[in-house]
Formats: sequence, C-alpha cells, structure tokens
Amino acid sequence: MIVRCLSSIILLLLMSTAAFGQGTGAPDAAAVVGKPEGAPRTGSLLDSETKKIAALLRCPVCQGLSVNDSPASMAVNMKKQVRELVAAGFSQRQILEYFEKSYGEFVLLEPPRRGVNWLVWIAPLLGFLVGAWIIRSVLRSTPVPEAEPSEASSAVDPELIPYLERVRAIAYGSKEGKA
Amino acid sequence: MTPFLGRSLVLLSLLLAVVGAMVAFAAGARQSRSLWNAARRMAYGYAAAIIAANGLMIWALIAKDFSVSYVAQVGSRSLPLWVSIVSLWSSLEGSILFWGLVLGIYIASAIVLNHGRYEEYLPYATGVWLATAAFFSFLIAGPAQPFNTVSPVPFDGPGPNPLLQNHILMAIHPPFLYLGYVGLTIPFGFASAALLRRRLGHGFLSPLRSSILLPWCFLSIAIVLGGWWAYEVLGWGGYWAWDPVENASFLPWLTATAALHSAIVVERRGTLKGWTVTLILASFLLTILGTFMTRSGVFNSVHSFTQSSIGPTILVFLAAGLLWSVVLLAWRIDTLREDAKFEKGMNREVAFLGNNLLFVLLTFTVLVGTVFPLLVEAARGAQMSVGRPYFDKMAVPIGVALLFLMGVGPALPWGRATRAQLKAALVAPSALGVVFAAVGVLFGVRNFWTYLALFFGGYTTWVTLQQMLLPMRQRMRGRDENVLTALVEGGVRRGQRRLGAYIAHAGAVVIIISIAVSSTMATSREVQLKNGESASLGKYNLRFVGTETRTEPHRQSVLAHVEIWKGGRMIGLLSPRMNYYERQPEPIGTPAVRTTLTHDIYLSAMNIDTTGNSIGLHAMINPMVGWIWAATGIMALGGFFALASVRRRSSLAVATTRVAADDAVAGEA
Repeated sequence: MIVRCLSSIILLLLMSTAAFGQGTGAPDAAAVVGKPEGAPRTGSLLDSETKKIAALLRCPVCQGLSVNDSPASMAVNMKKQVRELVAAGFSQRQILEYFEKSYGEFVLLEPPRRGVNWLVWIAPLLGFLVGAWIIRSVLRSTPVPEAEPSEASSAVDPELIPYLERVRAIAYGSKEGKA
Repeated sequence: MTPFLGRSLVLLSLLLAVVGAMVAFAAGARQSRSLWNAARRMAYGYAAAIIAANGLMIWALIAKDFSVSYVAQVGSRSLPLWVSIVSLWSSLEGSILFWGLVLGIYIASAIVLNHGRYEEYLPYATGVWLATAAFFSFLIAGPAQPFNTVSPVPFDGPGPNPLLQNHILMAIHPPFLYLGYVGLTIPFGFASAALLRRRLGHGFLSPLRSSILLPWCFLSIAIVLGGWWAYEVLGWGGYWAWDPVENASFLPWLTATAALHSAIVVERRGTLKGWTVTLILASFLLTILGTFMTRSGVFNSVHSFTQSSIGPTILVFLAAGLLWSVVLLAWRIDTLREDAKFEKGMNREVAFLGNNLLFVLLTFTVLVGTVFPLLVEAARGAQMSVGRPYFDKMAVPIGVALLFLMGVGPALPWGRATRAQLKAALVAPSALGVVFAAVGVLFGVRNFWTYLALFFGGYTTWVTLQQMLLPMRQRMRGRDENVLTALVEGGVRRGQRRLGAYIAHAGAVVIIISIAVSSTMATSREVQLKNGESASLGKYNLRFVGTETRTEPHRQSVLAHVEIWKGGRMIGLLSPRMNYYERQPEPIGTPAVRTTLTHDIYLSAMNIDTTGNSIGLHAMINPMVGWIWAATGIMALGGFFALASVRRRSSLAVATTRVAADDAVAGEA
C-alpha cells in the first residue's frame, strides 16, 4: 500500500510516453478489436459504463488499484481513453480485449475465465463443496430417540464444573468421580 | 558505541530466547519445577533485553545518532519528534525489532498473568513462544540487523517514506497491527502445549480464549485503522482495495474469528476441539505468511521496490511452523477424536458450523486469490492479476451469508429446535429487516446485494438486541427486579461475556451495512476549477477560492481552499493539499474529508496549478463511511468487555479447583 504511489512515479515516467503518447486510443482500437459492437453512448450512461469498465482495469503503475480508483496520472489518462472507447460504442468485452492486447493479461483485475485461470474461479466453489460435505458428515445421520438425554439443558453447565469436581473429589477422592 | 551496545542487546536476547526455549521444553517434558523457574527467568530476561534494545533504538532516532545504520537509513534532522519515534517501524529492520518488543511484552505478560494458574501448559507454551522469539531475534541479529555501524557517520539522513509522515494514523495503526499479529503467538503456544500435554479438557479453554480474544481485538482495530489511513492519505476515496498487504492482515483475523466461535461449541458441546486447535495453529501460521508477503518483496513484482534478503528466511520459518503444526496434530490425533455428533436440522450448533465453514472459505478464497498470480507467474512466466472485482464477487455473498448467520444463530436454540422456536427465530426479527430495506428504498438503493445486506442487517439487529436484553427481561420477570437492577445485574455483571459478544455483533452488523452502502451508493466527479469557479456535488456546491503554501521543517504543502455551500449558505472550508518532500520528485496529495452523520464529503486534489489559479479536483460523497470507524470501536469494545469477564471468571474457576485439590489432598491424608 505504501509502496504503491512511490513506485508509480518511476513506471509512470517509463510507460506513459511509450504507450499512450500518441493521442487518443479510439482510432487504432478498431484495428485491434474490430468495429464497435454497440451504439455510441452519452450522458449518464457513458459515465456509469466508463466507471464500470475502468474498475475492471488495473492501473499499471499502482499496487492493485483500478484505473477508476487511482489518482495516478497514468490511470487518469487510461480512464479518459476508456471513456472515449465507450463513447464510440465499443463494448466492455472489446475494451477489455483492447487493453489486454496493449498491456497483457496483467491489466485485467478480474482474471478472464479461461485456461489455468479457471482454477482461481473454481477453487472457492470446490472449497465450499468440500466444507459442506464435511459438515454433512459430522451431522448425526440417524434420528435421535426423544428420550435420549442429549438436550442442551441436560449437559453439565461448564461454569459448574469446578464445583462438581470439588464435590466428586470430596465424595470419591478423584475429579473424575470414580472411587 | 550505540551500535555496539545495540548489537550486544540483540545478541543477548537471541541467546536468552534460544536457551530459554530449550530449558522450557525440558521443563515441560520432565515436569520439573526448577527447570521451569529457570526458563521463566530467561523469558523475563529476553523481554528485558529486547525492550532495552528498542529503547536504545528510539533514543538513537530521537538523538539523531547517524552512526546507527537504521537511523542513517530512516532518520533525518528535519523530522518532528513523533515522526522520529514512529520511524522505528517505518522500515524493515526497525519493524522486526519492534516485533521483538511486542513479543517480549506479550511473553512476559502471559507468564506473569497465567503464573500459578495454567502450570501444566505454561512450560511448553513458553518454549514455543521463546522459539518464535529466537527466530525474530535471529533476524535482527543477522539478516535484518538495525544496529550496524556506519562509518563515516553521515551528517543527515533521508527520513522515512513520505507516505508514512503524512498522517498521524501511521503512528497508531502499526502498533495495533503488531499487537494483533504478534499476539497470536500466545494462543499458538497454548494450543501447542495442550497438544503436547494431551490435555484438551476444559482447563485449556480459558487461557486459550482470552489469549485469542485480546489480539483479535487489536487486529480488528488495526485492520480498520489501516483502511482509515488509506482513506485519509491515499486520496482515491476508498478504504479497502484487496491489495496483498491488506489481505495479509485480514487472513489471520478471519481464522481467529472462526476460532473464537468454534471455542464456544467446544465449551457448550465438548466437540470441535481438534478443529479449534487447528484454527489457532493456522492463525499463527497466517501471521507468518502475512509477514512473508509484506516483507519479502515478492508481491511488488511489478516494481521490485523493497527487495530484502529475509524473504527466504521467513519462508523457512513458515515451513518449520507448518511442519510443527501438522506433526503435532497427527501425533495427537487420538486426543482429538470427537465424541459427540451434531443434531441435524436448524439449531445453534449448525449455525456455528456454517459460521466456521464460511470464515474458512473466505480465508481460503482470499489466500488463493492473493497467491494465485504468483503461482501463475512462476509457472508460466506471464503476469496476471486477481484484483478487487474478483474478491468482491467472492466475498460479498460470503459476507452477506455471515451476516444472516450472525442473526439466525443466536436466535436458534442449542440441540433441537421445535417448529414454534423456529418460527419465532425467523419471523419476528424479519420485520426489522423489512424496515431496513424500506429505508434503503427511500434513499434510492439500486443494488441487489445492498438490499440483502440491509434486510439481513435489520434481522440481525433485532436478534442481537433481543439477546442483549434477554437476561435482563428474565430477571425482571423471575425476580421482580426493576429495570436498572436487572440491567446491571443480569446484563452487565453476570452476563458480561455474553453481552460483550453481542456488542461485538452489533458493531459487525453496522460495519457490514456501512460497507455495502458506501461501496454502492457513492457519488463522485472530477472537475477542473479556476479560481472563484464553482461545481456542484450532489446537494452541495464547491467553490475554489485560492491556494496557500505552508512550510514545515520536513515538507512544503500547497493547500487548495474549497468552500462547501449548501442551500445558499457556506457550511465549511475543505483544504485538500499537495505535499512536497525533500528527495521526493512527485508531490503526495492529502485529501480533505468532512464527516457528517450520514456521509463524508471527500475532496482530493489531482493537481494544483503552480500559480494557484486552477486545481483538478476529485470530489466524492461517501455515505456511511464514518460509521465503519465508529462501529469498529464498538466491536473492539465488545471484545475487551468480554475479555474482562474471561479473566475474572477463570480466576474464580482456578480458585475453586485449587480448593478442591487441597481438600482432596487433605482427604487422603
């Protein structure tokens, strides 16, 4: 977190001119990801869509902050570019693909669901299933007869254990209660 | 002179920790009182040596003794006193030294407070604590030595990382984090001792519970303080970005929270012992993993910035700890066999099981998401990211489910629930859930998960209040007491632990709702303003009225003054700033925040024109963020409150067991 902004400066200088020195991204985006899939967008729809997509892109000079959140000037430029692409009618898929082609998969904050990345999506689900299965196995499978004294009230109150032990110690000479 | 003295103290602490650990283990194995007395003294000696080493370092930092390598690295003549002192934990070597200080205090206090009570566990536990202490002393004695001699002595130093000088929270957040992180060594020692001694009966619960609860309280505060610091300093208007460093602090908190809950099942049902012990061992290991993550530099792979040589060493220690834990559990598997099984259906123990499943699942998910990019990079050589969208997608459903369990668990009885009990648990409290959701409609909530959080939040609030007041109501009905007596006697004095737990729950409910609302209901805009120009932000108007330059010894700041207008009336002035530090090419911004009861007005300067004629402003309205900080206080307060009762109660238990033992001896005689 601390390193985030300091390191941004170094990379900013290296990368900002290299990748995005030449004007807007919109014209060459069509060459990379094809014609815009949607209609041009304006107004509040443009704002909300820009925010949504910028939140999915990693600011390359920060530590894990999204382009939408980061105050770094490179992120601000990228966000501007996202806005232009959204305004031109490019879809979210196209815009993400465009940035991935420029910066590599690294720029996508949400790992695309393909290849080895499936692991990171499936692991929690798998974890849940395994956990649920374990819990199922510790639950009693046969119904308990009503008479069995296993209700909450019948268990020895833990607060009373020292007293109980004392009584047993006096009566039997041992804490376990067996003479 | 100072470096030599410091190195001697560090070496002394290493020696005492190593020998002390061996003697303590021997004392445990032979159950020898004289060996234990010797081990105890060495533990005190270790604590004294490491405290002295820290004192010396603080003195060197204040006195600007640049012959000490760490002072030459982070000190500076221009620093204010408080920055000089907090420099102790601003960089790697000092922070490990500080770790030793906290561990020393914890070990000494744990021995003093538990002396004469848990004699059967203390020697082994002390052995484990001192072995851990030995590792950290080894780090500062060798690879991360802060007391190297610098020659020739420089006249001045660069000062700590400017981001750390930027806000007073940096003086408070790390100590709390260390108190939480390092404190988890204590339950780890108790759990190890219980396994070694094959004693997992009721006796082992008391020291265990209080020793998790204390660091848990500190860690809760620390995590949120870290978020608060990010919010007040980094200027992006958020407090949590799921960055690896944040995750590192979150992971042990999750398992510790799970352990606090499963310990209740151990107490009430005599089962889940092995599981609870496993969670405690895991919490400690996760603190070491977290230290590795934040200290090794591997997670800054984009821009290798803090390369340090201690990463592999910590990894070795982590592996040793993991091996120790696994072997210990496998070796004592016979004592861990659970005798009781759980009843099927809806009851409180099933809610506890669900709680543990979800906490562990969240731990697992965060862990996988955090280390996955590293593994992929190691395997494929290509970099990829697992960031906030992923974590949000995974954590939000789990968080909401936990919120529901926090309500439904306490509402359900232990054992078996009748249909009427089930109905009572689910129906009535839902009314408040509907109310909360309706309030959401009123304020224009559009997000499905936010609605769910509001509904379950309301439901859980009802149950929590009901449970808080239950003992009081019972007393009023059963004993004809008046409200005040019933409240003091039933709620506060006799049910302190229970009340503390529900206070913590109440805090957690508010935190979850606030997170849901603040992350989905924020308004933000970016504007460029010339001097005298205004821009609207929600119901407010922001007017930029000029800049001001302030000079402090260690930095120069440019403040942009922005008036906040509401309904034709000026209600305040906010001054986001840019700070220029010596030896720092780019300025570092500090946002300005105005907190009201329902929301924050958050202004962050993106750029300030040198002539003072225009600023780039990132303006936000963040609803309910202030509630997170306040509610964390409530949550931790609940924890501390419950802790006080654990102490009192356990001393009572010990007193009575002692009497019993004495009687038994007398009887035999």
